[in-house]
Amino acid sequence: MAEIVLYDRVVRITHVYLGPAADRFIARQVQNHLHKEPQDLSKADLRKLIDWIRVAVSLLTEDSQLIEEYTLQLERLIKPATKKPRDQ
Amino acid sequence: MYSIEVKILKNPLAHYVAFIVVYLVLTLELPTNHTAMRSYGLTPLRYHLLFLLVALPFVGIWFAAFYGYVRLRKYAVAIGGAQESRDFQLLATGSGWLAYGLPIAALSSITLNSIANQVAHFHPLAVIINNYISLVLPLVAFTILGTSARRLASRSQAQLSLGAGRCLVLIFALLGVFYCYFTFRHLSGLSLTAIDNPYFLPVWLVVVSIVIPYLYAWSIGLLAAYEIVLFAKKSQGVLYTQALRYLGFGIATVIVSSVALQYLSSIIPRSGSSHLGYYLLCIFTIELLSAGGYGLIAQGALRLRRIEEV
Repeated sequence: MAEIVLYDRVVRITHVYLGPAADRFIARQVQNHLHKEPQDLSKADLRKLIDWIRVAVSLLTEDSQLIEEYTLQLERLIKPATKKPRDQ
Repeated sequence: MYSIEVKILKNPLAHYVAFIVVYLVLTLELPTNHTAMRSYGLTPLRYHLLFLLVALPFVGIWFAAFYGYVRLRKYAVAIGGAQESRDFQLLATGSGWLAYGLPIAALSSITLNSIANQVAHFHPLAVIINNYISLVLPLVAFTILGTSARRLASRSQAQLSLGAGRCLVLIFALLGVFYCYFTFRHLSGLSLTAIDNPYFLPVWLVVVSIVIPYLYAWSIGLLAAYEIVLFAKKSQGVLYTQALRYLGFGIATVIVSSVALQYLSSIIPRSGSSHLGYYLLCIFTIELLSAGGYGLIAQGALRLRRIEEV
């Protein structure tokens, strides 16, 4: 169940860049490059997926800043959420 | 082998090639218009060459129209099972009606006018048929484009604002009033049943079957143009909307130029012979604008399709 949520989070980030095509785009990357079904996407696959997404998006735009911004947001999904230190 | 033949028969670009071959053959082979030859002091050979020279730019403009239509159709097919797929297919169908309308109207015009040049009493029928062909094809196209534009706009939750709505109504009113003024100049002083006018139809029939449908078609067309641009602006996704804007502005340009072309050709009634000079220049300018619109459609559809392929 948690893994499906991860796929949805990837799609949600992608939606900002690819709009209604986001779901299809991510499903295609997962199926074609990771040889998995989208619902089977796990955190361990994310690094490889982000690399493929970077390649795919660079075919769509030459705006390197936009590609960096997009992949940076995806990379945040890999890192475990760190607790903010409480204000003293 | 059979499947290749079927593919060619179904390919719009193959239809385009067939249209230009027929058009160029008709341009060179159809009998000359003696009145036009006398008034421009032309020999039959020069008449045909001049006609060919006038026809050639249209061949390029039709190519842009068919190419834009094919690209849009391919994109609509590429997104197959997606929710918005049917709306894009409808958008492609509407563009197709406009693209096919260009050669069909031109072919019917030169064929019927040529017959009318040989058989004088056929002239009124030629004018009537040409008038209705010029009206019906874009009317169908605008209706289809209007439906798809409305569906797409509601999908992106874009709504016609009060200011934009009022502005559109004002544009329709101006367009309508000037159109009626130019049209009724040719009909003034005639009774409702009189047919001695440039349309060769009773005045009441001109109003019911030409004036009103034109006004309806233009209002539907301009509304569709506005809604498709609205959809492109309000959709989400940075890269998606960049591509969609090309498509939206392309469709809007094609619709507006098609309206302008109809407007111009309906306020100057068909005489059955070709006009040279400013009129032709205006037609070329509008057609070039339309070709630019189809170019934008092709560009937008290519970019959108690339998103679906990488």
